[in-house]
Amino acid sequence: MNPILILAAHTCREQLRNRSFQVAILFAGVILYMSLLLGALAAEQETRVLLDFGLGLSELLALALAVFGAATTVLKEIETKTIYLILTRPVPRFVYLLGRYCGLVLSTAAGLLAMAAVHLALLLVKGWAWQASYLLALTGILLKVAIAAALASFVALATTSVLSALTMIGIVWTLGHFAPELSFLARQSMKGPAAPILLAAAQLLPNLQLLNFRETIGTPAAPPLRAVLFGAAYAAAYSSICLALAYSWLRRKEF
Amino acid sequence: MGAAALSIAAAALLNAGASRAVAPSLPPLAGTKPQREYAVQTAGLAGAGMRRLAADLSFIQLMMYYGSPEGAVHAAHEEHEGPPTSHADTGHYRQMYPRAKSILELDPFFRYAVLFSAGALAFNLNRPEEALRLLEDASRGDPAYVRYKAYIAGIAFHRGGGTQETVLRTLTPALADPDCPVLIKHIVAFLNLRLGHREEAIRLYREILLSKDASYRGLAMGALRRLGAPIPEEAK
Amino acid sequence: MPETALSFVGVTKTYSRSHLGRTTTTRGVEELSLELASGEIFGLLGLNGSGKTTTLKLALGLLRPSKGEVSVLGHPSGTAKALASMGYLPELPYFYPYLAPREVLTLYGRLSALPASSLPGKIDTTLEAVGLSRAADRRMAEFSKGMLQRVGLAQAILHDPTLLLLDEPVSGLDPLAIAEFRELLATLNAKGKTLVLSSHSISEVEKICHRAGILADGKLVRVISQTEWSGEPGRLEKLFVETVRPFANA
Repeated sequence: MNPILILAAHTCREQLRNRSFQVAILFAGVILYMSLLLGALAAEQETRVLLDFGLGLSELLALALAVFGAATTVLKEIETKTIYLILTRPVPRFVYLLGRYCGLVLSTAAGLLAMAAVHLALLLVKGWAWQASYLLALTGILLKVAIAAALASFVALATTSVLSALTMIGIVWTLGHFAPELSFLARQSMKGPAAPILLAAAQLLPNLQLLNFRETIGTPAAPPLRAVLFGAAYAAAYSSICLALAYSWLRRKEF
Repeated sequence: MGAAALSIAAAALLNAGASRAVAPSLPPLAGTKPQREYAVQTAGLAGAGMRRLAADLSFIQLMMYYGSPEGAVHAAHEEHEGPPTSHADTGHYRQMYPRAKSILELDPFFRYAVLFSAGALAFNLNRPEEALRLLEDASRGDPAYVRYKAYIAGIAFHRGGGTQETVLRTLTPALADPDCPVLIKHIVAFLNLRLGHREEAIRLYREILLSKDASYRGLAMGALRRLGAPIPEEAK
Repeated sequence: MPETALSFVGVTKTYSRSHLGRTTTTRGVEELSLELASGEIFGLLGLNGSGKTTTLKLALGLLRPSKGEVSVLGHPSGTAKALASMGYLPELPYFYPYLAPREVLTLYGRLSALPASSLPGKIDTTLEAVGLSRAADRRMAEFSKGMLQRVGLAQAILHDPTLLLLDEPVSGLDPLAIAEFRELLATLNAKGKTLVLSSHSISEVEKICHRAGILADGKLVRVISQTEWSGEPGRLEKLFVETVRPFANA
């Protein structure tokens, strides 16, 4: 068996057995159920509000699970020295990193699917007509979270601080969703003192809005297949850059 | 250091390629003015990539505003924003248009919110100019949705003193639309009643009884009782 | 099989640490040159901070030498070929508490590229060898220090390595377990394995090792052959104390 798959399966199992992971999914179920109250306030737009709220909540929880996992998994393994028993086997460090990362993304996908099952059940009970773009929305969420997890892996390793990684991801997540706004502002204030900062942010931070398929579900702005495939390739490339940076740090690391 | 420089260059190249290859699906929020009361909520949700949810919450708040006693809301706004500055501001629920506009900026495809607000502005609050402005803005962002044109025509007739028949004829096709707000159904039912189409009015009031909006259900129930029409069992 | 199992040639390891613009350096080991023959049991003795663990980590590639070369069975340390033939028991090993020994050995066995078909049998044999058969499926969160040490040894020998590096192997074990442990190491050695023990327990080194090296202040100050202590119980301890005392008082 490929060592990347072995480590991915191990990480996935580790995450799924984690009490915090299980509590988070349970919590999501309870909140989704409680969102019926919010839906009732929206009267005729109940299913739309339930749809948006449920997808938004699932995304935030998936983000929390993936980013916290990415920020803590390797650091904890260094701290407890369990990493010694892996790196003293013929397992290259990039394989270790990639296996851990793939496992995290897989377990997050499993968590996301569990939340989606509860969400879909509620929506269907409330009379929502099934749309295949729901699956597209879930794909977009997973791709965005995959980028955030790769970035968190790098920041956590480089700063050896979980808090720094979480803070950094919070900032990047926000600015990444404002990518079109950042580009717009950078063009508007090209001569101002903020222009270089805006321009750098727009050029370097991940463009998460590109993957925000959730926001255009069932509208004429829903992305065509070409945009979805491009988004997937973008997410894979951006995550690879972050993982390459993380690897450049782990490669030099002594234990 | 080399790896970092290489990664930065790769990220910049990737983003440059992405911005050329794919246009943003929603227009940027930069340059728009969110409602002051909900600026934090809107910015927070938009920052998390949840413009639709921000629009949903703003719409719930708009409906609560529209359903609240006018006096209390009016007094609160006077204190907060100073005296009215334009003719439109002197009307009831003067925040209706700016709120609806802000919802539209968050989600240019939130058709129900636009139609609801435009209907309220045009037919209930007697501010058809604001309703038309909202519908024209919405139509520019969502040109594929032809119903906006029907509403624009209906409201234009209404504003120009057009006959009730003309307004009714313009609005009736919109009832078939799943996005048709219950408020519009109520207006169409009312117009039918005024024009003597009793059976059609009763049919529409019965449809309204099955809607999820409690206030319009109440109005429809009252209308049916006044008309002496039987109330369907499932609505009791 | 190469004659030399492990070789250090002029190895120096210094640790650099930067804090507020000031860089401080600490010496781990200095000018270490040592060759271990295949089939040998070598004991590394030294006071705390003398460089024993650093020496083992240099052999494993967890640390890189600042100067000099380390090779394992003819391969540079830390490479896949070197690591494939090594087993390592860290000091106070820690395992994923939610796993059982069988599960953790499955993980490490797969990562050591053991064939899937023979892995379950190999795990059973190894668990029996370290006396953990009855606890094979219990979560390790419930394990004592001694039991964890046994799991540590099991994962180190599971893939049948040629060179075994054991850091404080008898730490936390009761006297009976220590005796069993010693027997197991002797069996492994009889099969041709090379063993390196880093230990504070001079009596263990005295009982089992063919040679012992004494580290002080990061330098290998003395290498003693078994012939120098055999037949005189406590002799190795005397030699050790005599060697390290000047460094401890310095």
